[in-house]
Amino acid sequence: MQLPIFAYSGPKHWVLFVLAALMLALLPIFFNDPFFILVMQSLGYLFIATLGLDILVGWTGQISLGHAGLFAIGAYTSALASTRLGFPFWVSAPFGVVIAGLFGSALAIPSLRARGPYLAMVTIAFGFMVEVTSNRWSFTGGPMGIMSIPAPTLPDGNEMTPIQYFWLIAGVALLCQLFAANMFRARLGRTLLALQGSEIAAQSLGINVYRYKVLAFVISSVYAGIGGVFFAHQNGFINSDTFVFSLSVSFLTSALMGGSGTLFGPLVGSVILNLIPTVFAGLQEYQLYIYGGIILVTIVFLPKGIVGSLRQIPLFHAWRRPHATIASDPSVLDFPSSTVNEEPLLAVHGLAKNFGGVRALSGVDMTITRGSVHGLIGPNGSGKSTFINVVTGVFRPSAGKITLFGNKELRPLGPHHIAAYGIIRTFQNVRLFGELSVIDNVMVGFHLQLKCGFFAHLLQTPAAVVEEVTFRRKALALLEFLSIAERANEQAKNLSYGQQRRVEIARALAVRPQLLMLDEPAAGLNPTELHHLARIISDIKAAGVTLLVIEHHMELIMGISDVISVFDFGQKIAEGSSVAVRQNDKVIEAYLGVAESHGAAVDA
Amino acid sequence: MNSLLVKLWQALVSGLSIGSIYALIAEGYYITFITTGTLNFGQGEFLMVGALFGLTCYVSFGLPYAVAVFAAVLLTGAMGFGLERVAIRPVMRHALSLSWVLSTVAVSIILKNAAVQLWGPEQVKFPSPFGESVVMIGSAGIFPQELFIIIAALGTVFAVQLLLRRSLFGKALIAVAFNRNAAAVVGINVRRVVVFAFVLSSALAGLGGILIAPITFAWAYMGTTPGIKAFAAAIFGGLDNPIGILIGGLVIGVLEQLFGVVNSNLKEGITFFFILIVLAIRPTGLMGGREITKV
Amino acid sequence: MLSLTGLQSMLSIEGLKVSYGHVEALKGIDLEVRQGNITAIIGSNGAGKTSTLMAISRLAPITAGDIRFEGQSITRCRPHDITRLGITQILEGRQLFADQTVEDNLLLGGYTHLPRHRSRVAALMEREMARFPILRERRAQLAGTLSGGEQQMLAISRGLMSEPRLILMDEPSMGLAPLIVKEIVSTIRALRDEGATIVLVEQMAAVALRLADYAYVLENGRVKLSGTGRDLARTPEVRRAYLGG
Repeated sequence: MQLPIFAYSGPKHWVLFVLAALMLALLPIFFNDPFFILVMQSLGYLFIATLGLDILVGWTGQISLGHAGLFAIGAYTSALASTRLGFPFWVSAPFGVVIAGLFGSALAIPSLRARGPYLAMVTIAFGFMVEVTSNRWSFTGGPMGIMSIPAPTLPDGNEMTPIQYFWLIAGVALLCQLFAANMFRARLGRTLLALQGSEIAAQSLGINVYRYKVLAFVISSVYAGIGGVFFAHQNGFINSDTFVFSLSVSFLTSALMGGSGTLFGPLVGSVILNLIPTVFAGLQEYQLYIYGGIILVTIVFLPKGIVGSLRQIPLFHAWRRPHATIASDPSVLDFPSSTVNEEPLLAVHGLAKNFGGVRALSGVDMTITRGSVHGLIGPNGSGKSTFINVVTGVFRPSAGKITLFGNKELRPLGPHHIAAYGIIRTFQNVRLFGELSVIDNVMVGFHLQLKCGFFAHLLQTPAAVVEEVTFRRKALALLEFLSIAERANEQAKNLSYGQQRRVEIARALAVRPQLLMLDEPAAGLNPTELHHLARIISDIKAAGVTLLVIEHHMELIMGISDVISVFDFGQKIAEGSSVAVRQNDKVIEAYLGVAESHGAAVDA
Repeated sequence: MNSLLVKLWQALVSGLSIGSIYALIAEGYYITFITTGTLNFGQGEFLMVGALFGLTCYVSFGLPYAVAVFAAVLLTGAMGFGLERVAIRPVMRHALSLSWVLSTVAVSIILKNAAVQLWGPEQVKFPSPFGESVVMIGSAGIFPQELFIIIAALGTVFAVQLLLRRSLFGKALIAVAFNRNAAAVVGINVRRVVVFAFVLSSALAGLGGILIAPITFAWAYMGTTPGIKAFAAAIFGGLDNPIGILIGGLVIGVLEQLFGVVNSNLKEGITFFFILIVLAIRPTGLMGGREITKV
Repeated sequence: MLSLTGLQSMLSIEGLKVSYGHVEALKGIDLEVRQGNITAIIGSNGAGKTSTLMAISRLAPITAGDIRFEGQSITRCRPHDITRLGITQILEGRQLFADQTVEDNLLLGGYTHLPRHRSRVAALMEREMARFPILRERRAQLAGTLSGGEQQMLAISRGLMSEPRLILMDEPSMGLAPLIVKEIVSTIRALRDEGATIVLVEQMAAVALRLADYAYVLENGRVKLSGTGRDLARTPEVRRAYLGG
């Protein structure tokens, strides 16, 4: 099948880039006013910092109210290096950026486990500590700050003029935006948005969530550091008065107002917000009213920010027409087939899980043989989902052993480690990455197989581009297999429940599972879709994947399963062929609830 | 040695008094957080309004202190009603969970500006109704206002908790906090409870302002830092733990003052350093609730 | 409005649509609940059963259609008004106020009578504790510490405190042992015999169909079948899908 897919990049973006570069180059020549140039410089470095914050807030979904602290660290480091150590700008600046990045990675650590208001507090505390420390410490000049910070010098020995400094800032800003665009459109952007969408689902596909959160913090602090460095060398003087809480608020507001998680949101937001003082300079008294008012109005009426709201307009979609067509690659369905069928793939012995006083699982022994479709049934609350959660590492077992491939005992590992073994699952409440497109959801499933690293994508090397296209073709083939390819470019959250289910299965298949565990795949499906599901399951089995299927739909489960295990109250009460299980007394009682119903079940 | 002990003792009392104000404001954060999952990031500005409006009533209008307190609480409570309507309710339906942070910050920016226009940007002395002379307890000198703060603020915190646990409306509020749907199904007007939560929370902040103002100065910029420190106090024990909040406020207040005795530079940063350590060990606060999502 | 069985229609649903964001949980259902009946709604997970009850309680967004209770449209009411009108829901998974005592849970159940009719609430609490003596025994205990069956009894009693004319029950059997389910079933039957009108959502189709005077089978947000409990229990489709063949 051939489908137009929004390609990795294209000539359109280079044109934009060149146009922007030209415009920025010519701007100060036409408007040669010192104040104007100063404002433009400021917009430049504030934009860079805001862009960095959005990578954290918009892409990764981590709130940060301490961005001013990282900005400050970049500024102070470069200022100190150039004044106390005598480094030239071209050395002190990268040094400042690196130190900011290091602090960012340190800040990431408490942020890994804290969420919501707790995470906000961590970042706030960080920001305040930076401000207070720089204000009180003699090393950073105390309240007086640092003075005589040199401007960058050119090779001929002269200091840069303001116009040249602006060109430097603008050039770096352009590069920062370009790199952000490259990261956004490829693996990193997808992964971070996936994290934000559902951490648990991302982990179940093999993504190391902690690593990516740290990476997001580092990138955002590098950007903040760059901004801070430029700020320090702009006026020759800094002190802690700048790096207050309200600066962090201002960065966050710019990012959200522009539209978090969009490519151009930070640009729009930071330019508008930072121009307010200049535009309304005459209304000195009312300035903060206007500032606060604009924030409030935008947050209330444009929750997705300016760019985010624009994206909803149909006109905008027409402009973003995808322009490359790719063909699907069915080779993706050649799953690694095993040498020996019927060997035990996954076995649990005495598996137990307690939540407080509740025994969700107790003493479960079960073996899933390779090449089979293993059904798992039982009333709501009988422990079926808990079983999957324990096996995939979402919960630690309270007791018992899990063995893989007959001999390898599974230590309690994080879910992303288990996924690397080829144990993949879907969720009872479909957990797609709603903001990503359907095909991007599947692309996230290829995470473990993508070889090109961070820098390859950053610089958009040919290898990275080729890899993207290669896997897009495979993703398309998987969507075809699940008969959902026509919706490939749509946002996943706009699909119906049944369609989302299919995308989730396609995404799970992308990880090349040896064992695929489906948690109630039939829930919410109509009869046609059910029939289709049964066929998909047998196709998956034919492709060499072993399946565990949790279901309530009796007809479906009896029809597809080679063996069925029955759970009730956290224990396995029966196991066998569908015929055997159907006639089992204990099963009948568990499902029909009452002993007297034995008669009713026998009614023809 | 003796003078050090005296200083420590004075620091303890000052710490308890400021700490009880932190606890009072943190109580406000607690109430709105448990009922709506949001809080007023501009709570500090409500404290400031309570202080400055109280100042106007007490000094400019010459009303008795008790009346000034009552007026300040009434005004900030009414402002809480407005805040809920303007900055909380419109953004609750937004999927993005950060909207309320910025909308409440926006309101605080507007309030700060209004305060500067109405009362000017300078610091103003708020004369204590209990006089400026120091009371000697042993060899330590303490302001009577400080003692009053401890009694009044802590008393209010306890009274609010009592209200929550014993009164019908309090139980309804706890019910809404625990499970909105279940509360709605037994006939509780959830919206009314939410509005009340914000009114109460803002009134508490206003009370804190007029109580603390005679100790520190009253001025338009007085609110931000106490607001953030009270937030740290609320976080310390876990945002959903009322005892933790009380302890958090007092601990932070005392810690600051004690470190201030050692080195005034340390005083400012210690709270934030402390809370970072706490959150590194326990990401939901020392006594914070469990976070269980169904998978 | 009289119907075939000679009983008055208490609640009628017409063309009801419920959507959560982009997901349409109910795509237009018609349903009728007759006074004094137990009306069951069965179907697989995700079919829309809970959404139906939540729509009646006004806890789910209604995008189209009408719900009439005793002739009056209630689609614009706020959730607490629904309770005051005489409709109560026993929520799926009990959803008690776990951190409050059994007694406080019951007290809050009578919220609509308070603060004015304290003595009536006290009398109602007595009635419930007589119905389920275990509640009296555990009155000072936190609701979260009760066993599953005890919690279900408390949830039912809490719902009855508002003296509803229509009781909505969402999966009362969930997670309960067969013996306890038996007790709950007889409680539900006893309530019907006392004159209550009940809408029962159940995942355990067999339980529901045995209790139901009338039942609806929901599938994928639509009504697929309806009929008396006994008739549906004999229908081959239903047997295959929900009763293990």
